[in-house]
Amino acid sequence: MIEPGITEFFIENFVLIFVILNMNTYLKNNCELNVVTLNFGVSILCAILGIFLEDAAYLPLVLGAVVIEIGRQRRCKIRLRYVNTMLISVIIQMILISISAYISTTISMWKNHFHSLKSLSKVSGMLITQDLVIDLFFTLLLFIWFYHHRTWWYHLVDQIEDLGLSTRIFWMLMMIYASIQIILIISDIQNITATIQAASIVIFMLIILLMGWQMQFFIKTYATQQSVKDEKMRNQQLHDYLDSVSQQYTELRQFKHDFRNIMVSMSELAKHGDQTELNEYLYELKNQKNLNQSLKKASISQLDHLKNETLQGLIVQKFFEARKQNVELNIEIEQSDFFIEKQLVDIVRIVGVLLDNAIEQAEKMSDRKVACALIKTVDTVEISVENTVKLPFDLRKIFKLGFSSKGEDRGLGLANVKELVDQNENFYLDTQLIQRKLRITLIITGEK
Amino acid sequence: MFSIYLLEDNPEQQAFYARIIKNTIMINDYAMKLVCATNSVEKLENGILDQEQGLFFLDMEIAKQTDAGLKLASKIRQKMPFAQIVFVTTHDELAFLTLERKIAPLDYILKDQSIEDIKSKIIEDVNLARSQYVESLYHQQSLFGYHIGSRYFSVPMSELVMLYTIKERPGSVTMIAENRQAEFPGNLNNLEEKYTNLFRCDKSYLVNLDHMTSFNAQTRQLHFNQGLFCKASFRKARDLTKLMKNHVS
Repeated sequence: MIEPGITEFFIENFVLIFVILNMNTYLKNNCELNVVTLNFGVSILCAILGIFLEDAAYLPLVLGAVVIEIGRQRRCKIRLRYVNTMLISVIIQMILISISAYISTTISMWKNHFHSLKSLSKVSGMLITQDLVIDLFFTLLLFIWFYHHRTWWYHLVDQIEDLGLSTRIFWMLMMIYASIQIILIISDIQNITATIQAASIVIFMLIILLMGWQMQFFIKTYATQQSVKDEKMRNQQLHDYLDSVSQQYTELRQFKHDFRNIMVSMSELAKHGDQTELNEYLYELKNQKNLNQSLKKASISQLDHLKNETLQGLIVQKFFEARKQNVELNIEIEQSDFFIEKQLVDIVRIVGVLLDNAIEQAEKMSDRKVACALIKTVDTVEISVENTVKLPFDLRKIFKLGFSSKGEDRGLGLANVKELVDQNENFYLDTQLIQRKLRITLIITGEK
Repeated sequence: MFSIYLLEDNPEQQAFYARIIKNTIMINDYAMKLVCATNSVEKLENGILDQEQGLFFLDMEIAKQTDAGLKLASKIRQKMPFAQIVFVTTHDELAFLTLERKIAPLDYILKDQSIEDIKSKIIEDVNLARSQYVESLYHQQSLFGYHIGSRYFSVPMSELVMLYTIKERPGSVTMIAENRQAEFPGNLNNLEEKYTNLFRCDKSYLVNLDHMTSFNAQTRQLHFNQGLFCKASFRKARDLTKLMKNHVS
């Protein structure tokens, strides 16, 4: 085994960790100068730690990512999405450096006509530089590849989160990381040469590739299965809706029929100039239930304009939930193709809570109405939800934890909305009380 | 003179509305005038006088174009931010909430109501517009304005209670007004400079002292309606005490 000096070891660790962190930021899509500077500092710190931890040098990174996530969420539920990218970066670097070490050893032995590994110790300093150069070369290739496939990657990450597969992926990555770490530690203890180590890691890598390929297949199947399920439910709901529309139509036809009869009778009466009976008829006509009833029941015909399937699905679902509670949910979408590009997961969650709250509140009011408007301007998207409330109404309290006008301990929903809005810096909440109407609007900037 | 405008493409209805408006002005002897009653969008647009306020009765559907009135309303809002707009419409599927957010009209008059209802609605709106106009003449109403992207919003200064920032959201200010709570991008230093009537009681609070109900100099706490309170910094608490003493004496 080659025993390099502490300085070289430090430099090696530093470069690798720096690359890992930057890969991580790149995968998370927030490349900014101050983030890279932060990475630089963290790398130095971790590299110093790495001197003592030797082959387990990457452990602080993984643990750190978990701890930071816990700290950020201020509770024990973490967003695995960010930990996962860190794990992927670490695993990729571990594999790359092992392969580079193997290639570099082979090159050195061939170039210097060394026949034993012992003689390599003489050039250990140069060897490490060579390792790193090869490693960086591979990393660069990887970055280029990633750059060309970035949309696919972001889509995949969103999809994983949408499907709720993050936890599974996290454990899978954790296993892979642990396995590689074990190979490295054991090979270190047993003084196994880079050659064997690289060989075992290459084999391992092939298995991972196979697994990754399987995983992608699994995600695809899972997604299809889910969307089929959603589709089926939506079809059922649309079917119900169509039923009610056709029923309305039948009623309308009935009314038209009645109306004609009345008209005929009235024209007869008019011909004979019978004033009292004519007035009676007019009075009767005025009080016809169907005439006074508004034709415009809550409709979702405009929902066709909404091009985001998840959001559309959510609103359809809420529309039928509202109907079940005998609440009219009116959807207004002006633009003929309304499409939200970014942060859809959070938007769907916020709109879901807002609609739930409004519907629940509307159940208690006499008008039983909720309105929801999706408005797009040049650079903003606005989603408004409006319902009637009982006065006096305290606007301040609705976003507080554990408060809701519906009674104690049920206001968690709106507190979550506040939290979600705070997490996205381009989300703004506007809450208004106009006479008896409570209108909550989510304004999103940065949309085209 | 306060101007009233009317857009309606049905001649009988136009004459009917115009008569109600003129009668209302005459009976009450208001300093108002129906300056324009027309059936064409262009004519009305060209007829708008260069004034700060005006009352517009707009038919939504003009010559089979269902959004003609709406488009005109957006233009009027741009030209005359304080215009009072009333939509007169038969439009069945009226997107009320969208209209509220985009135009914020004074009222809607639905044509499928009875004639008496329409008449009383028009009279009511003329009266309402006039009383708001008179109010604005007496109290030069100042506004607190902010924008999110290209969307501009404003709140009467008299309704603004406080502005504050929280450390979870740097670069974003939360506004609390009487019946409104909103967030927008901005920073307190700029706002303090722009609105000198507001008092910076702390690094992260800018308050409207007109709404303060009490101030405890011991605990340095300012209290507002609805249980709102905030703390003043040591130096600012002294300024505030001085300010209040001057005010009393």
